Amino acid sequence: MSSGRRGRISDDEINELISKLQALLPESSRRRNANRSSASKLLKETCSYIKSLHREVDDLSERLSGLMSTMDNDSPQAEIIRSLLR
Amino acid sequence: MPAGSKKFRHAILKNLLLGLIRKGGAAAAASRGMMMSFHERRSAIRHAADAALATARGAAPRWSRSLAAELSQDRRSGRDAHLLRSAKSAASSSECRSQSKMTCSSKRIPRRTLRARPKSKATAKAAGVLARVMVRKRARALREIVPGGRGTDECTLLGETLDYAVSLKAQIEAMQLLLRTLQAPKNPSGKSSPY
Repeated sequence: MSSGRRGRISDDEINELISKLQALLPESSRRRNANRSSASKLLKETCSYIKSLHREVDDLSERLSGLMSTMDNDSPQAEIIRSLLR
Repeated sequence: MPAGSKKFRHAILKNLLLGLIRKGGAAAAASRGMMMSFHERRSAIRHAADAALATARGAAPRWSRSLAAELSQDRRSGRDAHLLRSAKSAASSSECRSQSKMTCSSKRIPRRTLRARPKSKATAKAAGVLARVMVRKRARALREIVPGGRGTDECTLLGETLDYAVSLKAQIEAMQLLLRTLQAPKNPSGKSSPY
């Protein structure tokens, strides 16, 4: 079952959203999707992409928590933060 | 505030800082010696980051409102609660859940192995555009990971996904900025400004 065919209504709108999504995805995904871009494949890539973004946020949270644990009110880091917020 | 702008990134960063300082102040005030467990601390930071993101993005997109609602429901770990609910609803349809797993793994699934689903519901009548069976499955997977996705039609979902992905990138950049700042060589003269 080929999924090359689009739907019938609002093709232009959908095409625009789809090309925006494609532009968003990392380079490698874009190449794979170049011609036979099926909506389904795009959604799959997008799903993977968002999951990877979530993982990255988790990873950053982890690293931040490592740093923050050593931070108390007198540390230079705390001072940096305070000065940023002024 | 639009999702792609620099102002947006900075807004996230600022919200995050405020949130973290609030949490850090509370923790420090409670007891100097006693630390939260690593997992708790990480969850707290993740929670603060998500709250910062949703607040900065505002109430315009559905995912943002949905995320904010989830976070206030479960203060300890907004993301975990969200995943819990997703898992629950996915479990009600096991093929959907396995599909989600497949979607998110790095394995390529040849389209030939798609089981022909006789379930030709009236999706064609709906928003209509992404009515293909395969696409519906993918859309379902996407709904699980975009906050508030479960109530939306496929057209709205696409737009929401776009906005959400761009916003996530901004959140990541804001956190990276913060990380770099904190890791900078200790220079209390305020030299290490991220701006």
